Amino acid sequence: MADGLALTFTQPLLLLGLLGLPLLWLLLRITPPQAREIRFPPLSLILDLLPAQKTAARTPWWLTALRLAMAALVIIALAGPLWRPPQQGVLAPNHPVLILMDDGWASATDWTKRQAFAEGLIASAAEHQQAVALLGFSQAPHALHLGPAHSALSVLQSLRPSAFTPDRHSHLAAITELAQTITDLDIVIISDGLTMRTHEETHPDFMQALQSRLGPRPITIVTPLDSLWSLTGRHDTDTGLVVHMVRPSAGPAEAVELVLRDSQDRVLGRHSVRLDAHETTRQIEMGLPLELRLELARIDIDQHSHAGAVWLSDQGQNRKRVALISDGQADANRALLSPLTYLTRALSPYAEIRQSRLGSVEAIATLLDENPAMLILAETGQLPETSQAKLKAYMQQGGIVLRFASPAWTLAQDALVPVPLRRGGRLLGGALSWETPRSLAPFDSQSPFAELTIPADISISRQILAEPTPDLAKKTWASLQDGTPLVTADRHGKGLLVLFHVSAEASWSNLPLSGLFVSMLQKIMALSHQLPSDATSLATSSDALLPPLRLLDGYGRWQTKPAPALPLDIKHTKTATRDYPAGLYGADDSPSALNILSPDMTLHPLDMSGAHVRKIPLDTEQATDLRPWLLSLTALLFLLDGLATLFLGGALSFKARPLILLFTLITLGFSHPLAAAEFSPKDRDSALATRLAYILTGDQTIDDFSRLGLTELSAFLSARTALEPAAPVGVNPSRDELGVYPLLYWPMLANQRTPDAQTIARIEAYMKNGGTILFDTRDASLQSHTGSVTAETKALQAILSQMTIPPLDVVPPSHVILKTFFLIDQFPGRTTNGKTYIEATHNFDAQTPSPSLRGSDGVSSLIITSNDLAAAWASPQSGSLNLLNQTIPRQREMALRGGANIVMYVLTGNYKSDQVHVPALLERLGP
Amino acid sequence: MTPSVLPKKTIHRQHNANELANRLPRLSLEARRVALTVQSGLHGRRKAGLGETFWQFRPFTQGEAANRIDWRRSSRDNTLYVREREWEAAHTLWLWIDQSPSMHFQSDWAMDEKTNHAIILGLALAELMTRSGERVGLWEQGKASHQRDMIDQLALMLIEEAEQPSERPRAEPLDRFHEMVVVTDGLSPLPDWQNTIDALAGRGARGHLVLIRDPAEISLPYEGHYRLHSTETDTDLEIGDVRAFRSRYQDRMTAHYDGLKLICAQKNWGFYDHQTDKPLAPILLALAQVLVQGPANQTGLSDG
Repeated sequence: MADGLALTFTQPLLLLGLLGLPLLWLLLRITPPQAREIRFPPLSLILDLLPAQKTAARTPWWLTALRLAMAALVIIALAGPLWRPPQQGVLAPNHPVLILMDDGWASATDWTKRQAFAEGLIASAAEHQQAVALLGFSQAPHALHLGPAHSALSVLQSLRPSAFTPDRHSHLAAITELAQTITDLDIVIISDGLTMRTHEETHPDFMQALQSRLGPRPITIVTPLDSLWSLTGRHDTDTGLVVHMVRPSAGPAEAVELVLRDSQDRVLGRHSVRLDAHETTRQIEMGLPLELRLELARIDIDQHSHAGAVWLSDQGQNRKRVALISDGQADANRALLSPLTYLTRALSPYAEIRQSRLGSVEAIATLLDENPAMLILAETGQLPETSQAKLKAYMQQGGIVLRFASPAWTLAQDALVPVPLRRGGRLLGGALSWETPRSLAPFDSQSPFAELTIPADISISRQILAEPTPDLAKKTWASLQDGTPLVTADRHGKGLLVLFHVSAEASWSNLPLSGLFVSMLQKIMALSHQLPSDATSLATSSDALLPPLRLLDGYGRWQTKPAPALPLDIKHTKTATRDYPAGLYGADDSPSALNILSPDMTLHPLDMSGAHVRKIPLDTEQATDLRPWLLSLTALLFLLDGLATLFLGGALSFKARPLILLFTLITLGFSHPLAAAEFSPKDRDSALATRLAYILTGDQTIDDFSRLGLTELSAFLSARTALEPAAPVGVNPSRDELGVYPLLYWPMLANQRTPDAQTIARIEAYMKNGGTILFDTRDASLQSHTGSVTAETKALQAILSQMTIPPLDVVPPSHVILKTFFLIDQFPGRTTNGKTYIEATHNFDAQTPSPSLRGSDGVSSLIITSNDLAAAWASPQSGSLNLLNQTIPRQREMALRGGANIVMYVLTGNYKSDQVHVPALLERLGP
Repeated sequence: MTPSVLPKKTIHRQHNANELANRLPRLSLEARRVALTVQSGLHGRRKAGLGETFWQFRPFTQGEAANRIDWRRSSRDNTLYVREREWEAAHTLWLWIDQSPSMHFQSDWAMDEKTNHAIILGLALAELMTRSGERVGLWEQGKASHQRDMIDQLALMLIEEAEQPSERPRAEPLDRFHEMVVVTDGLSPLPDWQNTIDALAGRGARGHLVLIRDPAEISLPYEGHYRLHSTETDTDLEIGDVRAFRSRYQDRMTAHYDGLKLICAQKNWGFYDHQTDKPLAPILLALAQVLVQGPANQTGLSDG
């Protein structure tokens, strides 16, 4: 928070070079632009003709100015100018300070800035020996006490953006109490500038409430600059879904991308949206096939890292429940003869199918209790009166009963049919019939099937006929070419009774084999709706409370460690609160989602009016490096200079000028100050040869160790194994392409800077796509002495806390990494006491590895050690690095073997673990 | 004198000769081709004379030498016949082809270097003339011959000459019945030309001056800032804006060429103009007609 110039230089001494400009000016002035040279035979005849226009003996002044400007720009750029906007002094720290922090999801995007801001406040208070209190609104309400700066600092560091909207009102009492005891209290609110309202909420605005309680007392509010888009819900349409987006106030126009994911976090689709500047709400329609919609579990606004930009969907909230009842024997050997086969195949992608092993009467009773959206009777004979009554009652409530004709009906049938039926079936195209099998007539426009197209090869050879009654045509949804009905339906109360006049298997017709059958079932299902009556209580009727399953953090990422959350009563909780953070609750197979926002909510900017309120923007400006801009400007001027020189030299004819101008403009249009080559030579070289790589830390000694260590390891690998890696390289994770390296060695520094979000995303993508990072905290020796967390470990924690990290485990003795090349039992480095952690496999010998291991061929995406491996690998003779302890040769050998095992593990994947089974396979092959 | 200490000028000339030797096969081929094209447009002189070709039989008149009687023809009937041959004026054509440095110039607008055009023209002319039995020689060499394969001999002589190119033809009077063709770009000062041509035509011999010009030399079509270097000396001239200079240049050059034309007209010499962006055949045809068919069309061709 130092005052000073907005413009600073990293190397101000270089500015002395500007003193050389006058000399350059002299030089430039007397060097005229070059004339074009040409041999010309008739010269001797015209020597006495003096040219009318004398050549400019001196450079035009504007060209000199241009060149001087270029030189000056280069000198200034080399001096490394940094633009740092002036920072406003936030408070006059001669009073005790109460810092109130919004630490809800809306603070997540710029949390580090908020934290830095608060840190600055606390630091300046400590400087002036003022007491400080700090409150995060997402904390539970508690009494506030002023305390020394370091305790406020520890509170601050414990705060994380939470995955719910904090209730500011719950803290009013405590704030008022503190303010009344300390009269000269300064109140600073680091706010997210957001108020969330549901329609029925009648709370007064927080700021008004605060001011009315405190009276005229100055309040400082630190507000963010940008307005956040959040998701408030989704609903399905016939062809896709609609996603609702809101933001509190108009902000910049932006192009965002919605990312749709399934329950395994696999991306189902992406949808780009252009959001205008004035919009505060937006409904985005996107087409998505039903199958994918049913898989959809999570919608993210890409690149918006806060929990409000995530919308979780209940698993199975879109699937309708369908009860399937058949009297026929479900015989696995004769599956193709069973109607259940066809119906299950047709419905299972879209519906949750419920079946019962009981006979049809008991099955109807039990399955109706589950309140299915549709009940299908596939091969039932006559239903008893009691069952019929139950079904009728079900239909009155709005259920759909779908019946299929069954061979038993030729003898007798019950009354639960839409139209009266004739006894006996009709056989078309049989040995005893003149008639040929019939096809379908086009659907009536009133029929629900009207949009479907009929394949030409449908043939019906057997059907149940209806008695010709006056309303038969009205009840017919589909008929054969001769007009006899194929599907009839009748309304019962709110529900429907639908009858297929053919059976649901292939003996009567080939309809169940066709795609039309699936479409027809879908159309019927579309008419149904999940019965509202305690439908959800069905699954949870036994325990009305859902345990937390997977919870989000404030950044919208899945939390890996269990967070404090209570079992959820889904009926009474609409949005996330402190007790119930946003996430998935309930059982693993059908979780219920709890989101930050709900569809009836609107976001408003926080009302910050009031006589004593002082607003300060959250200082979002970092120091801007002006170097690339200056250098691009220089390049531009250089281009101009070239053109001017050409022009003066007469190389530009009038014809060519527009072309060159056009070319220049195009070049300028495409040039970007930071645009880099697509592939650097380094990336290309690394892509062509397998090599080990280490992350450049910026500490010369550590980088030297990494390089020497990996060089020695590469030599060891070349000597002992079939792998001959090329020379190792140091990579910068924010710039270099990581994907070309199988293994990255990352030593931790005590003062390690946490990489920015973009770099973290790159590293995460690298790990997710099969790369492995070997983290080395190099602090095993310290750990044993102090037992506390070292700075290196803290740095590692800071990095890993920003990624989604699978559960880790100390390398188990049976782990394949211990036997990929050498048989070893630990990974010693410079020290031997540190533990080595690797991604946990649930059960190593089991066939299914943990989910994150599936994508990477069974290779753990990270290995963490603290033994300072590189220092052990590096040869004692290499260089003058005397930091190395006197390594025992044996220990160094073991360290190299461990390194070889790690490299082999990374490169070979599950091949080595498959090798374990080779003896068994050989035995099975026999002699 | 070892080659390494040769004066620079000598090396330069040798280089010129070597380069010419490289180009000559192409040039002589081209010359033969052009000559062939033109030859179909030419014919004999249609009168009896000292040629070798048969012209006609005529009755013997009393008092003629008896050895002129063609006995084979006379034995057919009672009359004596004399075989007459076509008159072939085996007069001598001298060629002078300018190979001075100024001829080695080709602008972007020209098809070829001026030297190349000059040499092709000269060789083609020699080919045509030797075919009709005339003697052709290079003026500087002073030897004329009527052999059929003149082109190759002339080419060798040209190479020899390229080592020491002269600005203008040797100023000696031509024999009365000899004829001369001077192929040049005419870029020497007018008084020099006056002296040269006066000397050549001292005995009343007829000659032709063929001007080979590059289009750039005529119109100076450059734009912008140029520094012009002389091809002969070390002088140069810097011109700030060629466009502003162009009209004065053109005036000067027109005056020079007009003066050259006047000098030729005074001595009844033919004056022909060829530009290197145009094909050679028309100028060759015009020359050949004048040379072969005598001074019927003395005024020459005004080209362009």
